[in-house]
Amino acid sequence: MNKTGKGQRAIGYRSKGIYVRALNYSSTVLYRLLPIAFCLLLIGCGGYKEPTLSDTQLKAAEFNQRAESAFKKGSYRRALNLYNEALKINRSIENIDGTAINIVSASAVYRKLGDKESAHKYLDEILNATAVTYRPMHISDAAFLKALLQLDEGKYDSAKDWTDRSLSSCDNPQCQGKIYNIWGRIELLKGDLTSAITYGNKGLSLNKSNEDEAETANSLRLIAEAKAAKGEYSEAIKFYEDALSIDKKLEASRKIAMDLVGIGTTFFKQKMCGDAVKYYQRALSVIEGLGDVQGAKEIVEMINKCSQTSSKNPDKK
Amino acid sequence: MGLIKETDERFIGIEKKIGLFVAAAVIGILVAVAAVGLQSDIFTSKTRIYLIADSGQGINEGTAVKLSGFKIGKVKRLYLDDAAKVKVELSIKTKYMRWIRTDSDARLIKEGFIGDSVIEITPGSAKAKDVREDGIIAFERTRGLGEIAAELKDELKPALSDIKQIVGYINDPQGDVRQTLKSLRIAAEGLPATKQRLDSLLADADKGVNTSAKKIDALLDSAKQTINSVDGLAKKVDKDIPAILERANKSVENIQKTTEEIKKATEQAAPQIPSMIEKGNDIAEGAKEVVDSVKKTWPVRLFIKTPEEKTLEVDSYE
Repeated sequence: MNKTGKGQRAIGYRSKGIYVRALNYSSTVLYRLLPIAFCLLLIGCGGYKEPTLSDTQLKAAEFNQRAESAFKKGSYRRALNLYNEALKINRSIENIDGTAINIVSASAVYRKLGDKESAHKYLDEILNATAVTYRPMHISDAAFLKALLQLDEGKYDSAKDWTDRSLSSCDNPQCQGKIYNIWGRIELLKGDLTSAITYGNKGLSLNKSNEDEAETANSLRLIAEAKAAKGEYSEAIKFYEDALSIDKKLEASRKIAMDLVGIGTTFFKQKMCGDAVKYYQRALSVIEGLGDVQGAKEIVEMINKCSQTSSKNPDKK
Repeated sequence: MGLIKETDERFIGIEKKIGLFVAAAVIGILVAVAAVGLQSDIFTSKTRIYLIADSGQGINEGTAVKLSGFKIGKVKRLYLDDAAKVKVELSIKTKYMRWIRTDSDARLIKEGFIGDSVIEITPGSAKAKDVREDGIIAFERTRGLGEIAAELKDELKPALSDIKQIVGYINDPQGDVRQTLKSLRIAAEGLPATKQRLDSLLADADKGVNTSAKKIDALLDSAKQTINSVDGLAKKVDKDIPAILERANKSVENIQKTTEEIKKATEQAAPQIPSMIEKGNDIAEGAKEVVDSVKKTWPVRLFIKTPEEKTLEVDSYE
């Protein structure tokens, strides 16, 4: 090895030493700064953050949430009381959104309790409001519920008007899907099967794109019902089965029973009583599990009707 | 070579130093033992007395014995005697024995409804004799909520059964009351027809006295029959109603008795209920404050969603 080579190595060692020292120094600084930085982070994060809602609004929100939970448990009276409490608080601070939310919710509970008069009265406060301007989404919700109430009463034309108003106030595809479903139902009940299928398909595509599974199943069931009424049985069964698989996934017992009854009835219309009874019996088991005596009675009647028909025409069993 | 030199000045007088240290430690231990003993009343003179209970339920070794609210001793042990009764040995501080007389009563009570069981001894009268070592005092167990409820249930049951029987008796379509009312109604319904016939009879009076007389006779017979029937029914009602009233009275008496029992039980429990509710409220409020504070603290608050009001989801197929 020559001299130059040794010199270069010496320079190399020197520069390496500088790097090592620099690295050591920076790591020392980092180690000292890290705890300080961590403490600063903790102080920053641990400091009290002002809530976005006032105590009164929080209280109203609590009542609203408890009401929803009571409703889901089937305690409708309790749910109604809690929604009314939330409504009272919102009125007292003139919170228009909160007021609208709780009016619509309380009205939905009244409908469930069978008090249609009160349900209408509550909704009219939003739909006929002059002094206060409610947001379109709340008007859409109120009109949607009003349409359902009219549908319950068999007033299809009025229901259609309210559906129209609900759709015109709905400013997002989320609500449009279910509005098309109800529109389709109205057409189905009026006997316009083609329109029912058209609205059902519109609802289906919107609900699918919104990933709203419950309403997607509703669209499928609506189309199935319309197709069965049109005599397109095999397609109807396919749609019912699709609806059934979603409803099973969602564990929506009543809807499962509806799908099974729908399939059974489609078979019954084709005079395939053996298959029909199988589905009716499955539906009966679901309804009995729900403890719905009236529903069970209706299904038993369907089974009896099927048995009578099959005994008259044994070949078509 | 040794590690420590024997002449090391640090070890000069080491025996004395160790001796002092050990002595101080021993004194310290003795003082501590004495303090604990004093605290635990080990050195206090105690008197042993007994009470006999039907059951040992709620009484345990260590259960406090109180007199006028002050702890004067505890249950030392309890065992079954030859008669299968529970003999409870109480260890009472001798200085308090002067208030325990032969007419003192011991009761097992609860400190509040959910508190510990305590044996409360009532001070005896001045005339009564002192209870000596190994003496026995009378014992009674106060009724718990469950026992009161069971007792009330037993009291209410016959009263409700009576009422049910009476209502059933009145409502029975084949029973006396309903049948009597039915007969009365039928009889009353017959009266307008009778009246109508009378009217037509009077209108036809001109047609012939003989005919009218016959009709009047028939009518009078009919009216007489109706009156007899109503009279019979009224007698039946007269006969039945006292029996019904007597049974109703008995039921009302039973209810009154039960109500009094309930009143007594409520009065017994009432003084403690408001304070319990107040305490419960305080505890709940405190807990809520703590939970609220925790909710607002990082990092818990990151996982808690601020509640917001939502419209109840309404399905298009409901």
